[in-house]
Amino acid sequence: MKINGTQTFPAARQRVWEFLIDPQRLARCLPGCEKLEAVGENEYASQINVGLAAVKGVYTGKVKLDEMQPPSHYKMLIDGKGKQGFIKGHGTLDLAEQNGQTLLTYSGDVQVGGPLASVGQRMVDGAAKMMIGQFFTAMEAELQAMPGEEVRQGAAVNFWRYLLKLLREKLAALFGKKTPA
Amino acid sequence: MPITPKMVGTRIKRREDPRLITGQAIYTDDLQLPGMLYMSVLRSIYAHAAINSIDITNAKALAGVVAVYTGADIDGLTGPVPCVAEVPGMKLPHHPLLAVGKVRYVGEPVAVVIATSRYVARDATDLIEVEYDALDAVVDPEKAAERDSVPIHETFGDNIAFRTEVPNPAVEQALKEADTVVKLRIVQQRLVPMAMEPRATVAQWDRGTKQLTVWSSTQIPHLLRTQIAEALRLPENHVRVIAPEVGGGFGAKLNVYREELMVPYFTMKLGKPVKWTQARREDFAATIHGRGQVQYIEAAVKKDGTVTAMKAKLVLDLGAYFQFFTPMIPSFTGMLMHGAYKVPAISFEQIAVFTNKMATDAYRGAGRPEAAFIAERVMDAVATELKLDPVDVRRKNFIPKTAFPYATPAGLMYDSGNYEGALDKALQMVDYVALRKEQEALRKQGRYIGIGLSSYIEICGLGPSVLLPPKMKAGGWESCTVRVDPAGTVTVFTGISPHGQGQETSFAQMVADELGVGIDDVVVLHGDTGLMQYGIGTFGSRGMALGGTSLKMSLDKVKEKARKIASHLMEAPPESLEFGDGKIFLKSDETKAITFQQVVEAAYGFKAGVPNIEPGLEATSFYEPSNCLFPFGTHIAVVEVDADTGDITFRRYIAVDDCGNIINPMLVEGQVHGGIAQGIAQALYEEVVYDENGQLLTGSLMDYAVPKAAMMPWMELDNTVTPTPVNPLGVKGVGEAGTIGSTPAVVNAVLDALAPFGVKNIDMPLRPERVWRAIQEAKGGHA
Repeated sequence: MKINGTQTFPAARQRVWEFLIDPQRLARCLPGCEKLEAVGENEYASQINVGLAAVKGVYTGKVKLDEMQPPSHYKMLIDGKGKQGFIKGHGTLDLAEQNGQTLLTYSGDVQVGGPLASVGQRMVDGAAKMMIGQFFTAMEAELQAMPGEEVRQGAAVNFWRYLLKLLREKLAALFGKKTPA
Repeated sequence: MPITPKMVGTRIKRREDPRLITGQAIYTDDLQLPGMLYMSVLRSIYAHAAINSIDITNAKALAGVVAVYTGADIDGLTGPVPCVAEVPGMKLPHHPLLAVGKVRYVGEPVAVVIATSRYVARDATDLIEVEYDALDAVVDPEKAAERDSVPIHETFGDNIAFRTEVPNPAVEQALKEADTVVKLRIVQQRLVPMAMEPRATVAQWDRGTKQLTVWSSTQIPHLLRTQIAEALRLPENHVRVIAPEVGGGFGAKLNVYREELMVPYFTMKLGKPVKWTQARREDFAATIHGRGQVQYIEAAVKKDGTVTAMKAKLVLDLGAYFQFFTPMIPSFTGMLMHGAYKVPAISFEQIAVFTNKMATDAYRGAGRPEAAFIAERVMDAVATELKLDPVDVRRKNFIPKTAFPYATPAGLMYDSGNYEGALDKALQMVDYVALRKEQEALRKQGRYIGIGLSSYIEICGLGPSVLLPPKMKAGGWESCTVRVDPAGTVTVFTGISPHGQGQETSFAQMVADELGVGIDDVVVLHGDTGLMQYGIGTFGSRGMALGGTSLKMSLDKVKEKARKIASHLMEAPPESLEFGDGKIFLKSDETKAITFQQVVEAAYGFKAGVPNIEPGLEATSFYEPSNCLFPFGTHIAVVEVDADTGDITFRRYIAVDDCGNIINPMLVEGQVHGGIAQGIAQALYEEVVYDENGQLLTGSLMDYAVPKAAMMPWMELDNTVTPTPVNPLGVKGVGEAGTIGSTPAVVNAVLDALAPFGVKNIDMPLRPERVWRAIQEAKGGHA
């Protein structure tokens, strides 16, 4: 499965970069993420809970950051497995400054296997898109927070935050308005 | 004349059905034995990977788990999964019961858990930790043949299982001299046989008598017994295999699977009965698939539509390992690709490859649907190319009814046929001429109906023993014992193993007619090696032709003896006697009669034996056929295609099948109904999909489109009757005919509907999306 897209964040590039290499804050924004701990340099052990139709389960694995070029680029390698199959993938994240905002460009290839593929394949694309959407929504909230401010995160909060954002975008599109930042 | 009407030829309701439809039937999974354990299989989630480590600690620790085994634990302690088919020059991969070192398809067994309940066993498999190192998967069969493809079996160096070529200079000559050469590329997608009852096996070991009993959902209990005995190194007479009620096989259960060897092996090892029942998702991944060919066809054609030669290159997607007949199934395709047509020269090449998928093997039709599809698509392509009517092209090329027995260019001998007879009947039923006019009129209104023909032939009733591989350790014959019990009832012990074909009914009809007993006095037993003499089994539409003939032979022997006894009792010459109405009577004077029961009692010496006649009244026969059988027919599908959506609806479906003499028309119809349903499924709905990494995407009934009743047309059926001279019953076979005939009829119909757009090919299944795309592409738009 190929994943790619862009997202603009109303924050300075350095701030976005710092977020993207901070496992604690990342963990709070990743939907279903139960654990993301540094186990080596740029290497993290993760545990993530994903439910896809009939195949629900916990996936444990490794996340590795590579080709680090602060504050503009890294490559991410993920390798996870659970009772319902495995997820394996790689992707790149690039950050560019754009009118005081930061443009994030991501591109990757994810392979899923086992029952996750044979039963959940039809939903994988949609689920991935939704998870990415939820992640970015949560990330945006984190980035907008004042330093030291605790942002409410978690699956339920982010899910609603994501839905609200979608609704906001739909309404904006409907009335021809620019999405409020 | 006897008052009782003849049973043979009449519509007797299946005697099997009441127990089946009221839940009384006993399947393998229904068996409960004292102390029974349950096996669950951990399967590979990778298509191709090295196994680095397997950690069974947590699984073993779960309460209720009795044992956990991996490949390393049992490697070399049993024989491998057998493949009995042999193709010259083929590479035979070692097929272990549990993967050792490497996995080669998604679903390959890696470890098993045996526990006191099936739920514990299933939970424990989740606790086994396997570390894999993924390898590149070989998925596309055409790429598998390429040099840089990663070898699935390292020792072979490449993924070519075998390459066979039957070159024919006459074909090359004909292609050069042809007015037109029609070329087709056909994809025969993989299909799941989808028996309603998944596979299941139970075994029990009697330590005292050293007797192993195995219950398995199989089409071939005797062949399975032979293979279990060999793999487990037991004398064959210490193994009994029972096929209880079997809920569909379709060729998939004409196999010996890993689990069928593991269950008895672990049963013996643990000294307790073990049961394993497959889950539906396992059935998708680890029961054989059907079809799996890419076909390149060239046909040399004269201006008038005469086909002078056919040439095929067949790329065969065999999967990672061989099952029972895997490499042999596609050989029917090349041999029969000219179908019902007198094509003087044919040649074909097979490129068989290993892929990281489940093995392909026999699935209803087994090599012949792929052949009939070629022949019938070629006929329509010729008609399109030369702007001829597809009916005329078929008539022009048919083997005439006067030409039988007909020696084919591939060396087969077609037994009997009247292809034009079936075609004429089907055309009349559909009112062909009027239908073509209607099609023309509707096109003007922007409605697209299509008429698709298929004048198929097939090969069945396998067959002369020489045609079956010696490694099968049994020939192609079939057997039957008829026992008249002292009470006058009749028990038939057949060597075939029916699982839906209805021989408990059709055989009883034959017994009733021949012996003059009531049909309710007849019991037909099958599927138990402890009860039956050796038999070969039910597959390849052979049940009636071979099992029925061996029954007829035994009935003749029983009658001969009964006549002798009656002759003694009645003091009349044996040849003057006839059977009927539970009596044996003088042909010349029906009032001079004794009851069948009197004869039976004399045979068993109730008062005194009959001098010079051995007591008892039973006979066993083994029937070895002299040839295979070649049923045929014409199917016509009439469809309407919605050009805006690509949706296909049936308007009519006509099937005229000729399977020789008919014992029970209702059983024949049932077979044709089911066959057509599975053939239409290939044409329109079903497809096994693996992604580029070898992950099975169609792994559940949510993703694999088995058609529902509402997706089927109303089937208008009829027959022509051209008996075969090969067996005394004059019967052929009809189990697979519907599947073979229907797929090309439907595809031809859709392409005929789309002729105004110039669409010449759509790969199966013809899903609306593909049809829509084909229309858009033909229109020159962007699809």
